[in-house]
Amino acid sequence: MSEQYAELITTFPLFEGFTANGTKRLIDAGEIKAQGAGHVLLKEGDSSDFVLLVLSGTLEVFVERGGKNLVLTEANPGAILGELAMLCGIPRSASVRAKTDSVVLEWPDEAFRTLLLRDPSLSQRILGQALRTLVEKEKSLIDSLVKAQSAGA
Amino acid sequence: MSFLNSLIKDPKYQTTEPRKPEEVGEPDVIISPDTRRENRIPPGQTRTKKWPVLDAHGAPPVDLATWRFEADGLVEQPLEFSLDEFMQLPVVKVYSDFHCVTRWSRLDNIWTGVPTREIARLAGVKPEAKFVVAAAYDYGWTTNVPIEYFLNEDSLFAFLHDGAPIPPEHGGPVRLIIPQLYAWKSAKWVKGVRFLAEDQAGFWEEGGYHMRGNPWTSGDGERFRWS
Repeated sequence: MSEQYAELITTFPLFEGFTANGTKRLIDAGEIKAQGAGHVLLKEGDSSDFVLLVLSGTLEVFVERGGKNLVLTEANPGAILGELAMLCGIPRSASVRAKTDSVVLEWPDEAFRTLLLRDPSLSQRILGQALRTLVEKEKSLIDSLVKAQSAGA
Repeated sequence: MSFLNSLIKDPKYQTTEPRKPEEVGEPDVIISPDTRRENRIPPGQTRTKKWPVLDAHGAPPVDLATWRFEADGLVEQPLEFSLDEFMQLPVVKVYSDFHCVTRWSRLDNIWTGVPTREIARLAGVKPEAKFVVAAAYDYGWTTNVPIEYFLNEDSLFAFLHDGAPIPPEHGGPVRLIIPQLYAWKSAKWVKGVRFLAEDQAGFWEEGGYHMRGNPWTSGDGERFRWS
């Protein structure tokens, strides 16, 4: 099973240039987990002690406010989840559940940190993508504020 | 004071500007051609006066009594040497710079060791060999190098750096030195080389690092196989 996922990970843009031997080492540093639809993988407020790479299926990132779930985004194969909170040492900022039956690669925090520390190319890629995601979120926040302001005016 | 002490404790700290090749003054030293460039620091690199330590797994235990160096693959005569036998081989000195893909360059190094050309000669490398994979003592670590870089006059299996044995953290007892490529191609704790007709990705190359790794080309150097 891990050979099949090793090949799959080489097709994800974040791991461009990896061979299946290279992605096999990423798999060996973590654990592949299948999760049924509806299963909650991360819970807002929990401590951030692992990072996920989506291998198949779709995950939903959501927060619960006033008894209602507000879906923020979806994560598809190739997406990494939970890396920023783990690197910053802060609790999970949102929850994640499987929207469909899904498979993820789960790296414990120590293993993920070691991957990044040992491999400057990989850390550059993962941090670059994480920061791009943050900048996009900030942009969309600004857009929402502008909209709200024009609606109020 | 503690800062000065830390400098004194680091025997590899460079307190002077790098010599020009003509100032080296070592008899019969091979001058690595990149040291003759007007600007010796490749694009995107910064000079360090220290000698930082980077590796995939940390220094492995290497038992000098059982240490072996092997050369095989596309050769007429596979080779195997003990450390004593390896030290009896012809020796050269090379004056070269050292460029790490993590963007530091250490200029002005004198390496002493067995020329790669001598290993290739003794093994009788077949004409169809176009690539070399160097293997190291650290847990199956390898790196791949085009044979023309491996056979450069300034490439060697070094056991001395600036006249002193190479410490374990820097790849001793013997490490490969290929001055004209990024330094990850200069395998620390080298245990052998295999000559191949087809290129075969090594440890970092399997993680998207460049198959050749020339610091002087492609604008910012051949660092990775991704953009």
